[in-house]
Amino acid sequence: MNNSEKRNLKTLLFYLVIIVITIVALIPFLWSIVLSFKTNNEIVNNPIALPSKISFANYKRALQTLDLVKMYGNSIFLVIISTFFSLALTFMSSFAITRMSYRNKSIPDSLYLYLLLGLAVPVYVLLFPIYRIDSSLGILGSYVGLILPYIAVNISFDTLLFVGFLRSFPTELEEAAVMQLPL
Amino acid sequence: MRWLSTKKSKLIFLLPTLAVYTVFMIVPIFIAVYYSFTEYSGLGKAKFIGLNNYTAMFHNKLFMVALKNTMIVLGCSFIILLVGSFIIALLLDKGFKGNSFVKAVVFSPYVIAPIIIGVIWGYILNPKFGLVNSVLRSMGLDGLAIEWIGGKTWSPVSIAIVFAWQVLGFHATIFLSGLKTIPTDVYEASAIDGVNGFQKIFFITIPMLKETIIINVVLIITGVFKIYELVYQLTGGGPSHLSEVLVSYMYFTVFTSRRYGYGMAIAVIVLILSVVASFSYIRISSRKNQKED
Repeated sequence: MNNSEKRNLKTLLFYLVIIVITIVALIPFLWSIVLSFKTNNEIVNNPIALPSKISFANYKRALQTLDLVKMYGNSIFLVIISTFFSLALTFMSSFAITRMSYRNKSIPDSLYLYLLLGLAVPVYVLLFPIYRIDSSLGILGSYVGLILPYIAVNISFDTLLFVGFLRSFPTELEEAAVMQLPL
Repeated sequence: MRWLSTKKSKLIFLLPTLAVYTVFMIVPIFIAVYYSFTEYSGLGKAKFIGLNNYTAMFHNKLFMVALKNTMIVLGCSFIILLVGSFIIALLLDKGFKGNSFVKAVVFSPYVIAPIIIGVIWGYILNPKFGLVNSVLRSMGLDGLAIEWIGGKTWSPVSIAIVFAWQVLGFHATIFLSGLKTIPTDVYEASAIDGVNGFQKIFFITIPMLKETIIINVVLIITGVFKIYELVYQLTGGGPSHLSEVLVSYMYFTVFTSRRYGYGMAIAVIVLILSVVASFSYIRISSRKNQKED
């Protein structure tokens, strides 16, 4: 085998691996789409066959049984509010950690470590305590009682990213911007 | 930014985050620790029973099964994820047509809720009519069509596979950003010295990715301790709690058996295992920052 053949074989192998990876990542999604058009009977008796006819019965039933407007409304509302607040709050605190000066130099580092602690906390173990806190604060069953824990859960990872970014971001740009401000 | 660093602005910037974080992340930990020393069924007052929950836990067969399963999931997903995501990152680091498409596809499972991933994979791994076993049977490989989920042996491995499938793209992305920080002149110099592909990976890439590997390792460990929905969806912990992991077993004791004290004792153990792993990561990464300063 000469060199160019060897290189071609290598390229072929490379693309083969890439294609396999893509298929493995995609198959579960494609499979669930295929299944969504099959009846229960077909799924159990004839698992790998394609649906005998494309039927939208499953979709129709889902639309009838689920209150999609309400559910999407809740999801979108919660996503927007909790994302907005967790980004805003964490950015402010990360800014304070990386940019402000403290008399005691160890304060920002300790704050950073404190906020990172949550990375290791599996949220499920805190469901019961959070339930207790919500009920003692009187926000059980309300949007606030859901949004505040969502924000809290995001704080650690957001802090990791924001502080990492702000530390590598040159302060000169901000200082120059401050100079332009009519204070 | 000294002019901005007044006490008032510090408070305004830090207080909201610290308040929300403390009330809904740190205080719950203390509440969990408190209840772990008590017996509480949701009614009346919690009764203080000292370390009884902890001693009972380590004598409980189901807890030990859950601990063993968690370790199996950890071991399997650790190997699949570390090796798999590294290889995928190496492949994606090369420029080729459709690179960003493949990147997006590989990353996509990570953004989907684990509970949906569990539902989808339930149809794939189902021993009777799942995709995997149906394909194996149609190829005449009936011997390989094992009870992926719902059986006694393979459930933790299946959970590890599904978990690994879901987060592979995330860890590959972290490796990929690590690969981008390796200066190209190192590779150029090694090419002049006649270093071959494997030597390049083992003697240059891996040593220079030390920090990235540490981050990935710790994120994998803490990620495994967060697995709950996959177990809930794929096996429901069954048969008779044999496929339970620590978090799902804790959820069962708290919300189904309503043994809040005992459940919180398990929660504390999970927390300790997970925090110890993460702290080693935080210490190592802060040591690195000090070096740079």
